[in-house]
Amino acid sequence: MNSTQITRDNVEEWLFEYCEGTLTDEEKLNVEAFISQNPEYREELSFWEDSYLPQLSASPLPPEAQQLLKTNYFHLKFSTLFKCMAVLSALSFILILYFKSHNEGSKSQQKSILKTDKHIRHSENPAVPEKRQLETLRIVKADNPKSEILNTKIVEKIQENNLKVSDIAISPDSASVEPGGLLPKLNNEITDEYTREAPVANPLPADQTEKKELGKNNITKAKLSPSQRRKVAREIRKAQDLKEQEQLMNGNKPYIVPSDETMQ
Amino acid sequence: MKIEKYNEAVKLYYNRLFWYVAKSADDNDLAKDIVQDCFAKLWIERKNIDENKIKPWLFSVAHNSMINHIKREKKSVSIEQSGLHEPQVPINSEFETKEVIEKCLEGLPSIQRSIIILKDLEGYDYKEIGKITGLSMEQVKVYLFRGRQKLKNSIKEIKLLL
Repeated sequence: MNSTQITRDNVEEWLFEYCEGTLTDEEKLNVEAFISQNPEYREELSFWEDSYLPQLSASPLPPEAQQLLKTNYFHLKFSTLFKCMAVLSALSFILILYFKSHNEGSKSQQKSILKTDKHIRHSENPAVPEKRQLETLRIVKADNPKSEILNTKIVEKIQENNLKVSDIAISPDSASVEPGGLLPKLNNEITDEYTREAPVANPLPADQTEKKELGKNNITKAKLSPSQRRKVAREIRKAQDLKEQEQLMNGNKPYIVPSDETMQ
Repeated sequence: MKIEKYNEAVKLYYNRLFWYVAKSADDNDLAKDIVQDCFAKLWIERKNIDENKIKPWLFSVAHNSMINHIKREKKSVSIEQSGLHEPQVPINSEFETKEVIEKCLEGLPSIQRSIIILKDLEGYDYKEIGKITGLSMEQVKVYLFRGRQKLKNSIKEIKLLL
């Protein structure tokens, strides 16, 4: 209060300040002293005290307030949602790729297992690296029982030792088999893999050999396509070379390649 | 501000804010609309509002909305020129002081009512009331004194009549 003296003119302000609680202890004592000296203001002070609003009693929330309450569901922004979708799609894409490659791997494994039963990979070209397999020969039953024996032995040797055809030493039984006798049968099943890279033999003797082999196996020329015939001839020459090399390695007499006349 | 804080604010302040606007504007329907708007603005502005100042923010927004509405409706009278309306208090032997005060409060100008409600019910000091209402501390004190004096006189008249 600016004025320290309480008078009848400013007593209202003093009583207001007294009720508001903004007076110092000394000022409060002054007001109380004034009221004690002027008892008619005691009632006035009670009216001032009555002018204060009573505290509100706690009441339940009305329905319109309940509507204002927010549920705690997640409020995703569009950008956050987009990011989540992108991550999920990327993950699913990776999973699809993984399973696809896994399935392909298992399929190829199955195929390779099946092929090992029926196919022998064969490479004879020294210029080509060992790992590179030029041709695939399919061993099939031959009409000739001897050739069947030889076939079986070749297959067994290759499968047991994981060797190439050139690594196999043909047993004496097979010596009685005329070189190349079994090969037309083998080569009839030659697949087309790497056939272009296979060493191409001289075409003229191949034709002659072909005639003989076709006649021996009762296969008419019309039954074979020209490419098959060339393959047959090629394989015959390869087998002859192989045989010769093997005999040289074993110390036997070199195998004499039959002349074209004897072949015919 | 998180959802939990917002919901807490609704539960704590809805009734108080409604009472404040309803008594200040003397219009319950207007009070409902203003309070709904206040909480809608609170939700929109939740990121920009300090969690410790939600209550004064709500009362400030409610006060401004109410004043704007009164101005638009041309119900607002110059505070200085407006006198105390004679309260229509039903005089009977069973009336209570609370009812008398509420009836007398209705006769006060809206700014005085607002300040008295903010002071008595919400416990704000002069500075906080000044921030809410956009008045200086001195103005708040003057309006509060005048409003409370009118209330006191009304109560005195009624009690003396009985």
